[in-house]
Amino acid sequence: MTSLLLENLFFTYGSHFSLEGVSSHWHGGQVVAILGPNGTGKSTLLRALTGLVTPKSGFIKLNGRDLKSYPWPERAKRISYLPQNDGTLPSLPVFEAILLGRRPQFSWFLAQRDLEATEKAIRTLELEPYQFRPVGELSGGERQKVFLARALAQETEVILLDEPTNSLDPAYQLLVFEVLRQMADGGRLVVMVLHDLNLANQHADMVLLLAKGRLLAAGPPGEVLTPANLEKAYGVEVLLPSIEGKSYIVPHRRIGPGKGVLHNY
Amino acid sequence: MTISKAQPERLKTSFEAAQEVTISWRGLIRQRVVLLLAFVILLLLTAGWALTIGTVSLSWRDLLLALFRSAPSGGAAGLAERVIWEIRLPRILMGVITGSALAGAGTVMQATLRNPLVSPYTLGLSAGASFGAALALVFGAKIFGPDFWRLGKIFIAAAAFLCALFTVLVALALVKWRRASSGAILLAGVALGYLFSALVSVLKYLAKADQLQDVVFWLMGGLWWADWTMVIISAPVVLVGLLILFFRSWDLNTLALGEDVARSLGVDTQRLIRLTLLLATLVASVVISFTGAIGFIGLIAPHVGRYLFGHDHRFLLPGATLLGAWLLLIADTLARTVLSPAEIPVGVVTSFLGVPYFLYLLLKNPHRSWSI
Repeated sequence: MTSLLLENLFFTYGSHFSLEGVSSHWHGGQVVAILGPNGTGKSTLLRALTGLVTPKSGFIKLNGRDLKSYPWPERAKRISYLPQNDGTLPSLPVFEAILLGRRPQFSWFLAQRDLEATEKAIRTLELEPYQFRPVGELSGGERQKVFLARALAQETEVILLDEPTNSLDPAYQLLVFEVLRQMADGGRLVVMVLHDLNLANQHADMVLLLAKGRLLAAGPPGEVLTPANLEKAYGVEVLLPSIEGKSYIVPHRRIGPGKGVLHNY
Repeated sequence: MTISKAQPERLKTSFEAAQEVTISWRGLIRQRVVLLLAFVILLLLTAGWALTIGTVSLSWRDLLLALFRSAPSGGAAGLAERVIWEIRLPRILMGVITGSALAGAGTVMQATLRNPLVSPYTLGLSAGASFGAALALVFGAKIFGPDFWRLGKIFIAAAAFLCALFTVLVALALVKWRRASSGAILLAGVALGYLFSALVSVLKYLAKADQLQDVVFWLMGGLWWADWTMVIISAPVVLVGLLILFFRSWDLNTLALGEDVARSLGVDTQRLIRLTLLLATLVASVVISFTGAIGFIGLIAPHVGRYLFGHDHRFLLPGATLLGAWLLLIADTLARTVLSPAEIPVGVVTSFLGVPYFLYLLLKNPHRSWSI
């Protein structure tokens, strides 16, 4: 079974940012959410898991083997990545943008399998009407679906997503989580950076809460997303109303200094 | 349950939709292959036409006889053979090679630097080559004395090539050691271009009247000096360079997704960028060292190529290459025949023909994203 082990990771970036002591162990079948305030290194952590960033110390092991020891093409067969800011050229047609997600699987000629995987991803996210239009002509949400479809078409055992529900309407947000849950149920490992506490609370099996340069808490959402932890991480007081037996997280008011200063506008 | 009732129908339509997409994708591929073959035929016909016209006008029959007869003939047929083999064929081949090289290099450099304004000259290549050539033209005669013109062409080309390559090596060094962004590479190239242009101005200032004329002529660019030596030196470099680039088509395609995603798809982007920039500039430098900087082809051919062949470099690269070859061949044939026996600089013709057409394309599709 797929397993991803993070051991005592330490990052620095520039002079003011650092993240240390991140350890965790995940396996196939799980949906993992990484949460934390802006600039705590959530995206950096995710990029490290793709191999785009090398941690200053500590190591990452995929299926018991050091991630660094996988050559790039091997890694690409196992890990797909949806960045926060996708750099896809606006003139690229949607179909090709998704098809390129199959790049690790073929060398020169496309197999029927590649076209099918592309088509399946297009269908899942209902992109058929735009599939031969340039990416640049789509709305922000449609574009996000294209990038997501590309990550799906790659069909890897580990899927890393940086804010996958960015600019999606509520129906597609829920659809995305249904798809990701299906993939996890199929034995894949889904890891994502999220800002929405409720989506993480409802859909993740495991939550990592980063704050102040370290891992504040990790575990099932119910244990991690407590008012005390959230106050420590975000400087925000939260309410936890319960509706039909499920609890929801409602940020109520800012507390403590250092979270922006209100001027007179 | 209602879901299980609805499902078979939904599956069926999805399956049909999948088939439709596969069919339309395969159809698109077939279309592009046909278009490529059409361009090959068009290029061959245009080359044949170009061989027949000029100061001495020949019939297609003369042409075929001259091309395929093994023993040299005398009289009028001998003249036709000499015109074709010694004058027109090398020039036409050099035109085709130069057009392909500039278009291919332009296509690859636009993809690598992800910028629609890039041409093979953007990284200071033409300014570097111009400086090298001007240096050789102004000081060559002093070093070699009266023998200069015998050694001239190759010496000028070598000087142009070395200076052009220097500008590119600076850009590559930036990529290799400083991991520079494409913006930084472009700015460094443009800045070096200005430096070399300034140096060319200094040389022009220092040159004597006859040398100045040579420099100005060289700077205009053209195929009037074309001969078999140029063809034999540049053809293998251009062919091998473009072939290696062609085999990196899929990797070039992934660069359209941005460097991070391309890397997550298994492409070593830094190596790819170094390799493609080096090869593209090598290919372009070899031809412009002989012909001078012929403008516009390296910028327009990739754009028209993308318009006709799409973004997949497996089709775009050969397509743009054929397009560049064809454009330059037409332009040069007009340049040498319209005012025959006098010649118009080919750069003037490419711009006069190409710019209106390009503007027409832009205005016809003003909202298309002409990014790259």
